[in-house]
Amino acid sequence: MKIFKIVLLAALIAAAVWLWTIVFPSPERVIRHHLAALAGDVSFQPHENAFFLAARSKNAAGFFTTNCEIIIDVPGRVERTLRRDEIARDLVAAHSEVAALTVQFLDVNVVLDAGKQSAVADLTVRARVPGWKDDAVQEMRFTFQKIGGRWLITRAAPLRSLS
Amino acid sequence: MDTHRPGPRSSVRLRAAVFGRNWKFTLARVAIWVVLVIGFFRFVVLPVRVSGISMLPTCPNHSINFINRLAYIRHGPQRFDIVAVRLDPRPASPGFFQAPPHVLYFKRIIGLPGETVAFSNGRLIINGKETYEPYENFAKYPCFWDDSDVTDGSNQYYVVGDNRTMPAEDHQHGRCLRSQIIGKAML
Repeated sequence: MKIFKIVLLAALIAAAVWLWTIVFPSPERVIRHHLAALAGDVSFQPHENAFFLAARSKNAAGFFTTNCEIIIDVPGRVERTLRRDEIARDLVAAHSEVAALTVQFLDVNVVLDAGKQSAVADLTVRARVPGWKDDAVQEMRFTFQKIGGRWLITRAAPLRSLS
Repeated sequence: MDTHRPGPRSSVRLRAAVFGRNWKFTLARVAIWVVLVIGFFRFVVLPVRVSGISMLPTCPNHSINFINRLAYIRHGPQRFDIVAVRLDPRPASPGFFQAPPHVLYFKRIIGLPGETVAFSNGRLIINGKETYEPYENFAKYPCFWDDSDVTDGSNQYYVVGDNRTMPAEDHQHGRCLRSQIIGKAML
């Protein structure tokens, strides 16, 4: 009976800790969640509803600050710098250019500054498009800033893996 | 008519064969084996699936290979070794006990620290001298790359794929840090 009480107490404590992390997530967890949501918003499957695609594209732009800078450099494929107002427009354009797009953010490493008001997330972007010979992979650095209680991306730039 | 029906003895044998004489010891043995196998295939020999054409014809697309993470414990990487390279270039990030990343470059080392590497009409030039690459068949797979001199730092290696028929600008190649090299390909 005593063991049962101890196990029950441990389970209750674990549940309380888990609930606490859900209700009050750490900044790192929030940033990871944002990145996962962003990857989901920019990915699309063939024959998806255009209305939902447009809504998701607009939603993706919402993860960035108004004066953000996004540098995309996939050797031999895409090389451009985007602003926030161009994100949704380019994503909608991408829907008509390629049949499908799957974006994954892998090996995310988040480092917060001392004041926990800005953060840097280094990650590997893997983009898969049907018809491409292989996946496009690129190491990228996302710079986040906490603005109005929200973590927004101020800059996204590629990191050169090979110099 | 003589029939054989499994009696209590055979059911005990069956149970002993499946769970062992003592199920607690069996469970512990299974747990130890699971930990050993996971540890082995994560930190010692890393299975990888080649995705892409940059190592053709040596490593075909979608082929399976294994990375020996202990290959460079006694000595550094050697010229013409095929290695797995971490994309993350930050020198502070790697560590042997860090989980391997999901995506790695699969390349061949052609330039060692301190050497100057260039390509002239597809031929590899190291420190100003043309260097024979035994794995390349330029008669069958011609290459016309022209890359200017790049000098490796004291902790840098120059890596490139074997597929030189593709345009140089589409082919990821260049200098990587020693800390980016995870291990040596086994196959």
